Amino acid sequence: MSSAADAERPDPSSSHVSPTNEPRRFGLFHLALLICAAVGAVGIMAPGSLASVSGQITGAVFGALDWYFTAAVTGFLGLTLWLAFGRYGHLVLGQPGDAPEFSLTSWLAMLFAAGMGSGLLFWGVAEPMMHFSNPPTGAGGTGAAARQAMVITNFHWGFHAWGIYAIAALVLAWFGFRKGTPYLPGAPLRAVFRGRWVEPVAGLSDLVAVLAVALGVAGSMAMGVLQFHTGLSAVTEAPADAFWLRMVILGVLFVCYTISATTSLDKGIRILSNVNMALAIALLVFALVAGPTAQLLRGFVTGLGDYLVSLPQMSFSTYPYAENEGWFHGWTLIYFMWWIAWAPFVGIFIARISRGRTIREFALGVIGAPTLFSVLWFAVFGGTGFDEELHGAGGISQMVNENVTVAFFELFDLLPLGGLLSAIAITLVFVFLVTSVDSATYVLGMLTSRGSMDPPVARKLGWGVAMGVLAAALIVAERVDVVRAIAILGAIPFTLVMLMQIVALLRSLRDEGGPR
Amino acid sequence: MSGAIMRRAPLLLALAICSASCADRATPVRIGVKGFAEQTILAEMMATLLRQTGHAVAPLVVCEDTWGCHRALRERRIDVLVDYTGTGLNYIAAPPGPATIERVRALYAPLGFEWRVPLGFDNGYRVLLPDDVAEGLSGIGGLSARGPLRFAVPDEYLRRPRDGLAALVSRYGLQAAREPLIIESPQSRYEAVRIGRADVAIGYATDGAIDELGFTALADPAAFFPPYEGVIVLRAGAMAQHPALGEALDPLAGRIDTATMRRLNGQVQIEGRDAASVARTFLVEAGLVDPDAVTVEVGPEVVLGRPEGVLEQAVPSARRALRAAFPDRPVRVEAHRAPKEQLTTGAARAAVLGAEQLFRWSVRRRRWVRDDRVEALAVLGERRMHVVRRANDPGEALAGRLGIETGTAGRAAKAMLDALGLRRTRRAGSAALLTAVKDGALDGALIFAAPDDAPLSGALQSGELALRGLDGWLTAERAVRMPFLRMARIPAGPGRAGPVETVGAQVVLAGAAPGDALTRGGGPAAALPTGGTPIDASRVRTIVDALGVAEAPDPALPNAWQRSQARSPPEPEGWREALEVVLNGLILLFSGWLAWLLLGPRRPDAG
Repeated sequence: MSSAADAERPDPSSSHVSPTNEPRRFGLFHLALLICAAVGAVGIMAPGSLASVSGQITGAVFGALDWYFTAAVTGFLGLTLWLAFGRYGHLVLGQPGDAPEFSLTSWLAMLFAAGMGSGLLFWGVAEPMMHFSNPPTGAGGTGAAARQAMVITNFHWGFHAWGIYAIAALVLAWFGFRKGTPYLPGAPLRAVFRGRWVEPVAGLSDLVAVLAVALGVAGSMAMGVLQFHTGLSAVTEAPADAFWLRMVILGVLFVCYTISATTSLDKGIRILSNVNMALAIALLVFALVAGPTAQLLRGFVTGLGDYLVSLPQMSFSTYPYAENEGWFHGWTLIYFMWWIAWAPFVGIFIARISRGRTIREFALGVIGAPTLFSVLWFAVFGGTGFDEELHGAGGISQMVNENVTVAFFELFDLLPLGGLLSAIAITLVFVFLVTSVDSATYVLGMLTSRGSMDPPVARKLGWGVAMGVLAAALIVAERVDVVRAIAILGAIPFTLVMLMQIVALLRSLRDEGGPR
Repeated sequence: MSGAIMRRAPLLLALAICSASCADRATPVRIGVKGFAEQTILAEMMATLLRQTGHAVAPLVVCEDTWGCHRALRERRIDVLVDYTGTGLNYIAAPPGPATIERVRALYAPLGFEWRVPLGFDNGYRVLLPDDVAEGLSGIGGLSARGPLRFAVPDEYLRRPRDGLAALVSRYGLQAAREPLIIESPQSRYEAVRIGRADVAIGYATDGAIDELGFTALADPAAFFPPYEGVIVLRAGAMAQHPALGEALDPLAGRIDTATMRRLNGQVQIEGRDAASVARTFLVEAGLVDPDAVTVEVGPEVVLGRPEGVLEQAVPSARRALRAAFPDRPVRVEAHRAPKEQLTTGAARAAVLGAEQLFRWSVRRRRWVRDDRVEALAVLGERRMHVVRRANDPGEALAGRLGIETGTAGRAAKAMLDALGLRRTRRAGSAALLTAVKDGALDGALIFAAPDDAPLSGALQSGELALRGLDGWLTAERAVRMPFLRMARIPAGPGRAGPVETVGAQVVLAGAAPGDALTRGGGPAAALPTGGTPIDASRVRTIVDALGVAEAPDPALPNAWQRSQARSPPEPEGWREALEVVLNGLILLFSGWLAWLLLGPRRPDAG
């Protein structure tokens, strides 16, 4: 759920992708919209059964194929590393001789920004605290549990997540910049393979990607509105369970992203998202300085080391003999699936900013920079929570177990200027929401207009309305689980799509030539 | 939003300026404990009293031994602990003299330790013998007539200069065997005496095992053992920070005598109960804590659902247990037509339910199946089926015109009648049913009630009505169809000649169950629960401890004690296995196809 929060709006003029001269594929836009509407309608009318059916399918697939998904995700990471250090590392994502479009510094900064999203705000305190109080093995609430909690959290948010995004982005960047294909998940398949199966499979890939993005973003919108509302009632005296207030928040959100999606306020959004990034970093620095600084940095270094040491083993663990299966499915696999569901979205953003990088730079930057940032983020916010539990009055883990959304605001209560920090945090949540939904409308518009870098406004608007309605439906029905389950459902086939893309990429790289 | 922030701005500024010194919440009171049960119990008592007076309390700081605790107190790592006068004298360079609290207080004042008023018990060394051996002995001196005594002692006791073994032997003129038995664990020392490896054990006065194992502490007429009175010791600096600290803890002074402390220790050491709940129970019994008062509120109130009109007896203890599990939150009882719905919608956190409520009727399988949305947390009691007929009625127990109770109370009875293919003639409250049977309007009434239900016993007293047995009714087949029922027997009493064979079902405290396959493990997808929030395992333990009911929920019920086990799969196992094989086969085929795509021949027109 990290989201390419402030997906840089690609400048239409810089697009070298000419409108494709493929035969126009019939109505991906309408088909996807129809499916979203159907999901929304069923989700409202029979939320229980939809959630339970999708839950059962996911449960069955996880039960049978958890090993495959674990291996695939770890494989993505391994492949990224192999590409970085292997014989194709020198190849440029672009025409031979292209120079990087952005300087190294601003490229890394943008990667950090991609890693930063409302997800980190949501889970920054909550996830470490949850593992701390209920660890998968051993007793909770101890120092050992704190270290284990950090390892698990970093495992979920670290290299594996970015390995997935790296692959999704690399495929798009390679084929988009080098081969001139449109930015569609199905494009690499069309470019490399021949046969009657290619077109249906590629079209299906596009559809799956569109659905994964649309449903994933709608679910995040609903969750984001709930979190924003919680924060608002923590800072001000806003009623904590006012349904109308949630709809008002959603309405404001809708107006904001619609304006930015339909007008040429690109620049405003870009500034807004840079300010947001700066605020998030300021929040991080403030918490680091105001909290037990040395202790937090000790936690950071130790956490990083523990993570690197545990990485090889955790990457391949499927708990075949332990009774940890439920935990593994509920946490690790669901995270992996979420990252895969987000991959078409984040992938496009990363690909867009990486033109002219070599594969080596690209792979190392994409998996390294955001991971380092999130390890630091969790070390600071999770570490502050641990410190409060182990040496302070405690009570945070209790609150987190009751209601995840309040975790951040509870923590801020302990810091000086807590009210101001909470105000900043809810502003961040809101702006992240606006920017990520704005980017999502763009990405969806692009995916449903044959990969055009400048999708028609009506199409973007259509997606904006669709996601607003879907999120409203979810808030009305108070069934966020429906969309979560569907998003995971979409990620399962998209994993297979990614595997096919990888084959296409490898063939294409082999054709392009090995060592210089 | 910005308006509210502006209004709070002066407050924020003040907070920033004195965040370190005046924010009470940021500086909780830290209680130190040495590593044994008594210390933990007393520390939990102090923590509860402190919370009641509005102090924040940090998790207990375990500082191993006396040295460690004193150092922690000096180094401001803890603010308060319970120490013993005798220990106090032993750990400071003091001239010999009586171990009175005044002396200790004066000796420690320069160190910044403030010893308060003694709590009332003396946990000194004692000479312990089995009850039967100790009988007739007049104190420790009585042992001098015995031959060389083999002492079972902890290592430390050999080396204590003033009250150690050598001093004891010479003070009372005892004969000690040459080699004392050195055993660290107190219980093992008593065991050594019991099996005859030693004659006398040295133990501690408040050891919870003394009573349990049938040992007696010999009297000490010569006052050889210095007193080890338990006293709350505060750090003077902490008093400056929390001025009300002393007053908050003083109510404990003189309230715990040696026998009480021994009993409380026994509850933790022998019965394995949770120290916090033992401490809390004591405080409530001693009137030091108002069981309903909530002082530091953390989080919203906890709602306890209960069915309207039935199971009233179980509510007070259920409420007490919830209070123990959510110590900082108010608990409100809310009557509801169907408390199970309160759980599944999240309106209540826990509910008092009859076991039959944890099941739903499956039309397809024609039996009662577990309702996996809820789970039993702990047992509150039991209800038994009372089949009441007129005393002179010769008919079968379940024949003729039968009445059952209204609402959820009659659910189990209805299930039983359904199993027999019978129909009830009337539904009414239990009192109305009994009157109807008495008047002849009904032949029998099926009343599900607690074994000691007062109205029912009263009605049976007159002799007009009698209880009828259900001998052999719960066949294996019926037990499968109605898993919540089990065989039970109503003891002899009014209205029956002897015990009456019948069926019963547990009354449980229930909570929402963890969610479906995706959310059961508690992962990110479970973050915004759409139904009720399950009660976590540690709270379930606290509830069970607080109820003091040893019985576990019937394994047939969906229950929190089996959370780690997989729940019954929705489809038969065979399907799942077949599906697994098919899915794995497909994915392997897919992988093979991918490998062929990757390594296979290049199509001429590809590129």
